[in-house]
Amino acid sequence: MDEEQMWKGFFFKLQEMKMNPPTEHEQKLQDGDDGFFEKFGSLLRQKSQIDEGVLKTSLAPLEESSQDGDEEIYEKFSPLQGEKSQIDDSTGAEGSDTSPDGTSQFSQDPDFSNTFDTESEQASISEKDISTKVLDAAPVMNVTDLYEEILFEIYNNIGCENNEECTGTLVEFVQEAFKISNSTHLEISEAARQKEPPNVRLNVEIIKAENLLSKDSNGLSDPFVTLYLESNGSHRYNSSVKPATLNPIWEEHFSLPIADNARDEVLIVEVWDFDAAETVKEKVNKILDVKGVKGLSKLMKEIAVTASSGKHDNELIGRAAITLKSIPVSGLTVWYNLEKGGKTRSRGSLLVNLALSAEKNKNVAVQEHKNLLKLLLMHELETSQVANYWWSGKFSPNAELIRSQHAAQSGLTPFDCALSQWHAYSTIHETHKLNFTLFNSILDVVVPVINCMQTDSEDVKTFWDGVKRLLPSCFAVLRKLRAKNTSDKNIVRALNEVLDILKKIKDLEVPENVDIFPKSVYGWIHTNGTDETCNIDTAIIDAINTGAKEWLEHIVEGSRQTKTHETDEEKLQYIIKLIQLVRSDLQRAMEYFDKLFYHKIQLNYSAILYLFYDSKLAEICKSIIIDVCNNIKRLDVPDDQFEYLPNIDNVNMGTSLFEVYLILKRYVQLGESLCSEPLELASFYPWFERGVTHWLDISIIKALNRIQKAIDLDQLKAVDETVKYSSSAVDTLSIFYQIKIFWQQLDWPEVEGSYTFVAKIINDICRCCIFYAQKMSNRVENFALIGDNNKMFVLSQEWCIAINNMDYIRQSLPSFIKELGTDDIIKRLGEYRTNLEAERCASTITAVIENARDTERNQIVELIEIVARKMAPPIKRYLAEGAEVLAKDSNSMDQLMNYLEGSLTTLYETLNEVNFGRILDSIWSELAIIMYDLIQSNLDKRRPPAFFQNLNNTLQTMLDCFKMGNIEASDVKILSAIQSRLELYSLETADLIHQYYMDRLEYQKNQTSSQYGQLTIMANLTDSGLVLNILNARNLLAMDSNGTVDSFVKITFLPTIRFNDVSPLKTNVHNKNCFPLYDQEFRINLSEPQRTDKNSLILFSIKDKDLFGMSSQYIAESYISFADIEAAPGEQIMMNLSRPEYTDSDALRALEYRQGDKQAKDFVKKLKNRSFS
Amino acid sequence: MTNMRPPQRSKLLKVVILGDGGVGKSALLNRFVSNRYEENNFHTIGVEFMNKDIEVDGERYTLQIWDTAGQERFRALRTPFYRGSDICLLCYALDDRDSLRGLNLWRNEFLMYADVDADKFPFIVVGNKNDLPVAKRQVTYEAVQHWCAEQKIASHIETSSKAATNVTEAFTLGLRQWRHMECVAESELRQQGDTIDLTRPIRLAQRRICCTGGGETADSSADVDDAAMRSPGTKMFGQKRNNAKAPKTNYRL
Repeated sequence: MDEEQMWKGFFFKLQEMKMNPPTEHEQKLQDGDDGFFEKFGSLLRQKSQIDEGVLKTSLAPLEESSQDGDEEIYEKFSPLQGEKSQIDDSTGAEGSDTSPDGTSQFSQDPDFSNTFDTESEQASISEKDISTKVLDAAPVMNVTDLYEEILFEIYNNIGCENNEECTGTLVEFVQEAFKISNSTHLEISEAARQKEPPNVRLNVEIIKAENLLSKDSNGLSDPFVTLYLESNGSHRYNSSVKPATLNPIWEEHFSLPIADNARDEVLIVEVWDFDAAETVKEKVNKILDVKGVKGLSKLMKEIAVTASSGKHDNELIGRAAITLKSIPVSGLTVWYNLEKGGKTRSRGSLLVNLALSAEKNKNVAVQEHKNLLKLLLMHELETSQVANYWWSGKFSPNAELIRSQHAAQSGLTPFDCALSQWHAYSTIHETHKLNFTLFNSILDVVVPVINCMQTDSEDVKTFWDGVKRLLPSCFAVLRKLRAKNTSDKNIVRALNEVLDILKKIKDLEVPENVDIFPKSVYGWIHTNGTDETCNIDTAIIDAINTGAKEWLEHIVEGSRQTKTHETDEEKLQYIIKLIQLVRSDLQRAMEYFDKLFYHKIQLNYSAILYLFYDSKLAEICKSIIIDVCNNIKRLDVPDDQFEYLPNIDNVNMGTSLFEVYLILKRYVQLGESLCSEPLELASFYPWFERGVTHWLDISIIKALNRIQKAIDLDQLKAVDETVKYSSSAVDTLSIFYQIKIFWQQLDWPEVEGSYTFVAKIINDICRCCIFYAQKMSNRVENFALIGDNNKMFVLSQEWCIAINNMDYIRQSLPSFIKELGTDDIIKRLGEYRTNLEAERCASTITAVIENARDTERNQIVELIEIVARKMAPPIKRYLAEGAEVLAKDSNSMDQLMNYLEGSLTTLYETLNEVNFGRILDSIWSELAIIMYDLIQSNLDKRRPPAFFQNLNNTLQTMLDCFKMGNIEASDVKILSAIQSRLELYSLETADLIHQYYMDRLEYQKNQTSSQYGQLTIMANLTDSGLVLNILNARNLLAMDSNGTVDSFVKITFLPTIRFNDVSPLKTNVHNKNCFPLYDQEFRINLSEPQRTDKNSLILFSIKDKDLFGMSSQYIAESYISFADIEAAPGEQIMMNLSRPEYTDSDALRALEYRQGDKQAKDFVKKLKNRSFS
Repeated sequence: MTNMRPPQRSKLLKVVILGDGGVGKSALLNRFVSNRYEENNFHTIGVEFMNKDIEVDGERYTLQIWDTAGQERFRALRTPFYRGSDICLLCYALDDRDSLRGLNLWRNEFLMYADVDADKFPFIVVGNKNDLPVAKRQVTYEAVQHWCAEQKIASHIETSSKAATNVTEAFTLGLRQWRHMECVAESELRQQGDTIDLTRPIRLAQRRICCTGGGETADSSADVDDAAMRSPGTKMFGQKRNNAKAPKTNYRL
């Protein structure tokens, strides 16, 4: 059979079987070891395929996310639905993913989203703390001043909107927005109405102070600045409070109206320590209780501080008095030493910029505008309860009107407005998140102008201040891409905006003195210990890494068992879960985020993520896996003897280790496709070496046990009608098949290890094959023992099946081993090392396989020999019986033929050609032995020639029937020798005697010299008879005492029975001559049949005539056949003389056995006399 | 009459060659099996396997020789092949002092993974590269003898694969040592007599018969006196037979 084809056919069958659930038989077989091989082979493969499938489906792209209209988003963010709708959405988004299993990689862990929420909550709380500070530091105007300004603007509205009704609504709106009590309102309103636009203004910028005196117990102060004109001490302007510092920086602008007597005015600038003892918080809390809007409360706190400035217990640090006449028109920036009560002690100094102008200072206007925007937005947020990340720049009509009035009346350019918005919104954004699109659109207006500005200009400073406020939330988006409380769709949208913002900002030059990444805010930024400047690009990567880190830390904690002593299994499951989660994350990154990152800022997001995970996972996995592998106990593996099979009850291994292996392998493959850098995890496989070794140890034990079981269960019936092997062969091969699948899955990446493992697998499989052959052989031998005592051995199908099974396994071996990929491994070895080394490895594999195949073949041949031996007794019996009966009508012959035919038919039909040939050979060998035994024993029994005749006929028949001409040469020789022997024994005595003469002739011809001398004759066959010339004799043996001989030649024709009408002839006697010259011619008449029988012999006996002539003494003799005479007509023929001393004649021996035959007995006696005479 | 090959029987023995990388294990094996010497320096990858028939003191043996890679990185890969060994060759190089020191580790690694009794296992210490000039020699014969005595290893031999000296002798020495151990083990077993637990297989000595050419079963050669020593399976793994076909009886007419 073509091995390839057979193998293929087998696998096809196997595949078919694997598709179906295990049969009862398989079940029984697998029960023994819990389906060890299936578990590691096809089931493991199936499992990992399913895992893969889950991973894929779970992260199928979000449905039509790009096509979603804005409306849906509106819904999502609609204030009415609020947070609830968001949760719904996120769950909805998950639900829409086709696999419930997939995304629940995250949600399976109920802690995860919660914990993460809490965490983000904490994060945002800390952010709030930060932003509180930022907000506190922000320049804030006395709210009443601003209120007055706005009312003033409303009353002096310009443009077509100006009418009484409208004014009324606006005033109401403003009062509400500014949260001004009615009494205050009236007061301020009156002032605003009466207010004349001032002609001259003093524009003051409080820049900073240094070395302030500490007033608080902590050695610091909480300074703020109050300024007023000496003439108008009740109208004070306050700066913000800078908490806990002696070197505060304000950079705040104030615009003070100046009366006519300007030159005599004195500006008083006071630095106060804000007394926190009077708990501003309490005040704030009161407002909080009432209002409940967080962002607003913050602002109100500032307001509260300012508003209460008259009543507080603040301590004066120092003051400076500046006479206005000292100010030049162009303005000046001057350090003032602070004083208090004329004491000389240094109280610090204050840097102030002073300028006089007729118009409202632009800086002041911008600041007013900022504050106005803040107030309006607060109001807006409060009244319409806008959700986080929702507001995108649209005010209510009233607010918009007020805003545009202020912009117009303050003469602000679109850029000024945009910048104010940028700053104001980013400040609000710190506490109440606004939509990133808002900032994006503002940036479009601001960036081109900023780009052209000097880096030290006020606007640039303002811009970057806004940037500083906005960036943390941008990075927060990057860091919290994994938060599950928002849907993927929203995340993608937000990310899109954020990346746009970052892209626009990152190319701008950051002013030297601006640190956009203060350590206090960006604790997560990775600094290499040095003060390496971080820019937005590095911060983005840091943010990505930090996000990954936080998430990883979370899942590492979340997946870990809380128990202190984890089992190895738990540890492995933990790794599996971890990697699955990470893979899901990467998958998500690739499907949703990669494109954005790449298009916006040319970052390979998932590659960055992967590299981050790589080292972390390598660290976690390596220690666990090595640990687990080290915990593996070594096994008592049977040696090659199979003396006993180790108990398999306690030998087992979970598949987890290899699940980890496979999942890591796929994970690394993913990484290699993502990153060009070398990966730490890429060297994961050596961690598993011990595990693999252990598996191989187990598998040999399990395989041997299972083979044993398969053989025990085997009914020795062909598995189906198309094949000639039984279940155990299939079972054994399916073990190999599973081992193969395991090995293919393992797909060991490193070639040297790969070779060594495969060498071990091959060695083990070879051992299994041999084990199988042994056990199969034993099985069938035992099988035959039962009930086989005296009955005739009937060759059954089982024997053939057993032989086939063994042969089947043996033949499958090479192609199976090819399937392990050995060729490829050898090829790779050659590339990796040298061809020499590869060849050595190849020859090792070949040697191992050949050894196994040799052994198996021996096993088969031995079994075949056993079969042949078992067939021998019946054959012998039939042969003997058949030969016994003289009559030819005996049916023993038929019985024998039937027996042989039956057996051989079974063999022929069941065995393959090779084994059929083998068994034929064995049978013929057995037959030779049987024949030999029969001949010997029956010779002893003096069977008549007919017995041997019959035996010979039977043998001939068998040869004719069954010999296919493919017998080994030795067998032919043996059989033909037996045949000729049988022919001899079947001869009648006379024929046997003639055969003896023929033997003598043969012997004589082979003699090169003779001690008895030679005889020369000449003969010629004629039409009527024979002309015979006895010419001479030489070197005759001296018979007489005188040393000579008186010789004559007696001529006898043989066989006598044929020539009984021819009388014996004699020559004349030649006296006393050892070289007699007879030279005597005889003419003998012979009949036609006498002439033509080539077998006829002439016997020349040379005799010595004795003194009395009464009898003659025998000297020696020689023979010639008619065939010889015919070959040399008329030529001199010299023949050696001999005596019947030559006894190594089968014919003679046969004659000797015929002691009951008188003719034979006499002949032998005569012969003996002659030889010893 | 017909020239029947008489049944030949040879014992099958598994031999493992251990030692540091570069001491010449593969060269030794190559010289022994195919009488060749490869000048090129090459490394064994994991394990290599070769067969060799050898006749010692009138007995025929088939050696199944596993050559191993000495490098540390192959450790996990080679150790599975130790089990079932009958003889272990511990190799060092005469010009490498460290390789002698390494023998301790090798011996321990072998004992651990082959799971054999240290005192009853035939170790052969083989010093390779005997052909080097004296000046390059770093390990004296005496030093090795001393080490062997400490480890109770009786067999030590210096060889040269390059010059083909003492190579076959090294393996022969191993065989003799194995047989010696075998005899010791057998006599010990006999002394223990009836007290042997038949259910517990004897691990220390491998008895394997390999039939070359003949079809005789191994039963006849198994120790009939001692049931525990008789191997139940008659045919052993990897037995090597050259002709597949051989009638049982020689007949002469």
